[in-house]
Amino acid sequence: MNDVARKVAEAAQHMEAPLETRRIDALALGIAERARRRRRMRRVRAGIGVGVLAACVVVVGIAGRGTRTIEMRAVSPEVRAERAAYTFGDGSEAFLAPGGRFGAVVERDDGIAIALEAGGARFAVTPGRRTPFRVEAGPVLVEVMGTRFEVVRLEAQARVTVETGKVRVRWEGGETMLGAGDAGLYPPPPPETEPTDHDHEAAVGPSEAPSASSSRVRQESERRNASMPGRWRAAAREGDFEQAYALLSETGRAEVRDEPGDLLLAADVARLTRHPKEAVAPLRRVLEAFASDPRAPLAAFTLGRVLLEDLGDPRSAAEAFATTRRLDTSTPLAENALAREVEAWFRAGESERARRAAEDFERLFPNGSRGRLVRRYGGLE
Amino acid sequence: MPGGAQSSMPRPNLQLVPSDSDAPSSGREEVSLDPGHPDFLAACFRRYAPYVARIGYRLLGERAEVEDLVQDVFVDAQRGLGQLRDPRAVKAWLSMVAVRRARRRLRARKLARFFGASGGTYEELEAPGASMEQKHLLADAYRALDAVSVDARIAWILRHVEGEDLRTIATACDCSLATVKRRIAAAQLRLDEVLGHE
Repeated sequence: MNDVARKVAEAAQHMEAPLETRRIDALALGIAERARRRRRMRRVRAGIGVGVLAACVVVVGIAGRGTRTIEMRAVSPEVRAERAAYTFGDGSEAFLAPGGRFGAVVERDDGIAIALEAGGARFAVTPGRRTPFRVEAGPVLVEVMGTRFEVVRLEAQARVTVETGKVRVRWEGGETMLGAGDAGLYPPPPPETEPTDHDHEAAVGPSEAPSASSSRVRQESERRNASMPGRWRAAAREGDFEQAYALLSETGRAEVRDEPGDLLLAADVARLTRHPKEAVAPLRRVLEAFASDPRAPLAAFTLGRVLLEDLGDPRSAAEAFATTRRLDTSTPLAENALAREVEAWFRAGESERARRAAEDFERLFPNGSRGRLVRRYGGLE
Repeated sequence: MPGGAQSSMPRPNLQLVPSDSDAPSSGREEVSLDPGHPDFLAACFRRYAPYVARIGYRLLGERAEVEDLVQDVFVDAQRGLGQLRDPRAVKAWLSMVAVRRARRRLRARKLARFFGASGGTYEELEAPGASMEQKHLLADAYRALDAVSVDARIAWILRHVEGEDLRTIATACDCSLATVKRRIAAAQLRLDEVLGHE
């Protein structure tokens, strides 16, 4: 347990929620009523055959300008969207695959949000939507701007496949844009963590040093048909980055097409198999040759992280984060990039540049979630 | 086992015995019931409601939602009672249900934030006995945990706050050990980013 975890854990021991005897008795009595309420709601939903949102108020009104608005408040945690298909006000549609399950479906005049709890679903989003259409599948958020795409929720990831149009896929610490024909598994798996004191319990199997694992994968790949081009791509999109790296090593980097999708994927393969130096070239290539591509800001941000976190080059990292902001001024990525730029200048010993970047951050993102870190690194405290 | 087995009495019923890691005894008498006994649910509720309330509070970070969560868990327990074979597994089973219920609430909260609903500030976290510094630390930590996936948040809290071992967490979260480790690492990364300079 590191120091942060220890301090938080110690403080959290004071978080008790004691229940007095009388309160326990009252809660016990309430259980039967709650169970009856649930049964009643299930009957209502079954009877009407639509996903009625329990504990939710639906208000339909005609606004003065003749615009019809539908407002839904307070999505209850008991929400179950039980239909297998939805058609929304603008004609966008959501279709659940067999075995799939929506957790919640919310349509408001400022957007549509759908939680995919299990399995797969297909979505057809009317082009030209003015408000977001979002699908949340576990740790992944898919935002669409008029497209047809599929999301399949797996255990800790989601597979996103785009038929037409573009989608932005976001997860903690990263995001990417997918175009027609693109597919991927997100979030990409992180590098294996170092064994900690907590790992003394028997694990699911004997642990292996990464080099032993990579060596075995390489040996396996020698037996495969190495003349099949692009297999590294399929392996990477399935999340098997070790295999993808081994295949790329076998077939040579010429397998990587000179276009942003492949370059970013190759960088991910290198980065996530603990070969960060080999991620730099494809990322730089995106910035040099495809700066106008919508994925270029992500390439710059990823380059910054590799340089800062993996290669110990904070000065170059700061420049990469600054590039991210030049290419993308408006999305949450820009805010993150500026915050990381402050940190990188700080770590490079450039306190004056860190301060200037921190002042920019305060001006551009006064309510930014990383303000505290930025003020500290930028010397503004 | 209570009472011994007398030839004219029914077979001894299984006994709910607090484990070492349970909360201190409330002083109530131990209950001797088997899962088929009509008072089994009530006995479980009195014995384990405080435990469910505690882990629910620590997962959600919101005191106001705890009692609702406790009731939801035991309504589920009522429905799922037939699945329970071993009364010694009650606590572990209730943890699994509590985690599931907490996850739904946390996900609904996240969904609401997509539409601009303000996130919790956690400035009013109830933590009697904690110093002011600790309360601020907790507020920062819970805000940081709001930014990671719900699954990562749950795994981290079960590990580091509840002190559960990885296997127990994997069972409660219905996932593999490797996934538990990955989720804990993801949450720790975020906490280190936000709090690492403290």
